Amino acid sequence: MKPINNKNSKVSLFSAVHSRHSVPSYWKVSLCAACILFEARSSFAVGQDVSALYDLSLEELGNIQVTSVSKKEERLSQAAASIYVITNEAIRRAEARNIPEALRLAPTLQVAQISAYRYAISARGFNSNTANKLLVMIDGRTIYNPLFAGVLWESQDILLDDVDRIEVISGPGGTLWGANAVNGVINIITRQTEKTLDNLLRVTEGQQFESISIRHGGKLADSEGNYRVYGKFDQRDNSVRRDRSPEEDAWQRGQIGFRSDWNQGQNAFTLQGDAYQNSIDQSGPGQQENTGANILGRWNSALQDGSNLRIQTYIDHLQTKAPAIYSEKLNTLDIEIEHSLAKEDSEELIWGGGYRVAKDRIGNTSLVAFLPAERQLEWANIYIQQKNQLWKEWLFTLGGKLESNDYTGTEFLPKATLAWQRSQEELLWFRLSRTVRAPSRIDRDLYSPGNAPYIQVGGPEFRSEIAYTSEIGWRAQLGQSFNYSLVAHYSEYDHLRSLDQTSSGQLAVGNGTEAKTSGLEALANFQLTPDLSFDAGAVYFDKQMNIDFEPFLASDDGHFQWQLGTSWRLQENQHLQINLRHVSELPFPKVPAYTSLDMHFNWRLSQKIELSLAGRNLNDPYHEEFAMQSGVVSLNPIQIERELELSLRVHF
Amino acid sequence: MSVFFRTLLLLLIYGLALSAGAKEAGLSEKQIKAAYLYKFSSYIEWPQTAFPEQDTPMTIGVLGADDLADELSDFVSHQTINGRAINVKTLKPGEVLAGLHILFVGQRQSEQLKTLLNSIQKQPILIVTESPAALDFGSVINFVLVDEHIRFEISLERADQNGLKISARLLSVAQKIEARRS
Repeated sequence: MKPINNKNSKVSLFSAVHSRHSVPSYWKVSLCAACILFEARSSFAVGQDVSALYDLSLEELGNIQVTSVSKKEERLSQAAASIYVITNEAIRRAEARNIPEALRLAPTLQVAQISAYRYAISARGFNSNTANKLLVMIDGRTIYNPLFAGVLWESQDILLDDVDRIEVISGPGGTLWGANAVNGVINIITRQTEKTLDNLLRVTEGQQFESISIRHGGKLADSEGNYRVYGKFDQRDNSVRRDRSPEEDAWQRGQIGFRSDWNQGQNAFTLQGDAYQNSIDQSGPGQQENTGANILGRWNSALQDGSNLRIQTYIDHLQTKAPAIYSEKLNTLDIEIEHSLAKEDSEELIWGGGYRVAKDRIGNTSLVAFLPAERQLEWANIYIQQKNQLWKEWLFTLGGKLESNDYTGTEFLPKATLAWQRSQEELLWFRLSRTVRAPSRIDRDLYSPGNAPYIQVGGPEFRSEIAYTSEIGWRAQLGQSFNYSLVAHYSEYDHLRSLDQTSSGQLAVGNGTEAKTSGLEALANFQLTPDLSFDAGAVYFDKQMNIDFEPFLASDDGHFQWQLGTSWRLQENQHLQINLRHVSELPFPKVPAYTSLDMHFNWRLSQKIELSLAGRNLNDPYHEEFAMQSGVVSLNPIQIERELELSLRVHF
Repeated sequence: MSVFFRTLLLLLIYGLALSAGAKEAGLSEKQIKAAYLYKFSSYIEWPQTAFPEQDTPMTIGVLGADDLADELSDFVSHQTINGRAINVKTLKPGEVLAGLHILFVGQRQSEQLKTLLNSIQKQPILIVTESPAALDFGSVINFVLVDEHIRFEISLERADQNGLKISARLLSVAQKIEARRS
């Protein structure tokens, strides 16, 4: 009986650590470990009776962690897709400092750090810092930038302690989620405010990074609802390059935000918003500066007939200044409506639509120009998806979406899924889909240099990229403690970006690239004991193109990666997390294979105070993850360093 | 072998030892909540009228959480609090809520919570719940799950209305205290 172990076993941990220092011989260490083994067992034997629980003090009761072996969301085991869910606990255990570090926990994503603030993140290949086939949302707000057709990760932050979960869907998600969800969807969902009613102060001090954040939660005056407000400030030092020279990429970032949820009968409302400002050193003149703010409202209504109606709208503003390179001002308005009717588990009808308008103003420089410098883009969509029972345990889902954009008109994104729910624990599924990446400003309107005569003249003829994907997946749960999932996928991509020579000898973006990709995704989770669990994942990926290498804004994809997370509750109030991750060599530009080992120790000193020691890349003082930025190959790429870091969390 | 791997090995053995011991079963929410319910009684003062006789037993009613009731009655069957025996009553929805000192209403009954608690206002009963916003519906102590730990919030106003006195010791451990509205 774990939670009632007496203080002896805690003492033995310290004595063990001590003796390791004073008697550093291997045999003595093993001997000592054997003592602990014995001691620990004997102390547990004493506490096998549950009634000992009733002898604990009020404080001790409050310090017991509740076991949540089978807390996984049920609908997950029935989801016919390649889904991985990053939980709040996993994020905290990994001491993730930003969204990309949290995303590293998903074995199906490729996450490579390029500099102190820049990341390349993709699913199923085509990875670069402007990876354009992944749709990312925070609480339903898309953070895909229509200028680049990518996510500027340096401008996206969130209080990670307040994230409920991150759902990572690899594979096409176009029908429900929209264009650009060609290779995957990332859905970051923050906690309902009723789960964050306390106050939290978190202070982190590391070798390269420091951070302070504070959150206050409470009930609204009419007490039908709750709210929270938060503020955080982070800063990071310069990185180091392959030749050990420093790279000027230190940054500072501040962010504030709020969320409130309230219920009235069958209606639930959410209002939330954030504002941020950051500044990043650059090797050229001045500093990059990014500011932004957003506000989002959502209304969920459970209707009389058992169906559900959701209406959501948001406004997002951002401003980016990179002196001597470019500047951008972007305002977005989005409104969405969705109606879903689930008759039984086996039958469901979802339909909805959305409209988005974005207006930008680009400050062009002599280096590059977006022409016209000001542009308003509009998107509109309608979609419908129906799930039916075909025969016994066979379910068939058919869905389609029409999406219009200003560049290419209306695009069609259909998908069909056949699923065989063999039992509650076993699911086989097969899917065909057609997805589209519609043109962005960077495909059509980018000129270089910034003034005539131009070498590159946009992409006047550029049309949408199209992917046809087939997937087959198997998901099963064996007993209470082991579940796994296997997915095989094959895609054909037509009309991918290429850089073509025009008749006048200039360069223009075209659709001359074709690709075929295939791969396997394997995930497994094993709960050995209530206190020890393993989470493993491996991905194999292969990409064949009709050209030898991509000449412009190329991507760089390896064949293989795997990771293993070990989550270990050593004591009632002590936890050890070990995350091991391997990424195989990237072909061009070449980046050697690497393995990284992170270990994080968390110690809850009292009900209110938690101390964590985070160790990153412990096995290696330096490694490289990516050697290219915005299509430019780096001959002296940034190194990811070994780091130690101490965090204090106070709940009050 | 490097120092690093030795440390890893040490942790491995240490962890396995602990896990081997812990294999029996982890503690569940209901076990911890049952223990809390038992504990609470020592930190609450009921009005005289609640215990007409010197040996009137302490009665704990449990509604909508039968597994918790089983857990609790297993333990309290041969326990006393301040010389009083303890009775655990497993209540069915609609059953008359009379003669109780403590009433626990489980999440399964949370939809009827408002009506239920309205019907037993201002009686000397310590009402304990595990539903969001339950204090507003008339609960005195409400369990909340904070980062996988079970804590509780207390409404002083409801305690006053029910004629209960809560010791400062219990208040000091509460996650949150709702003060009296004057």
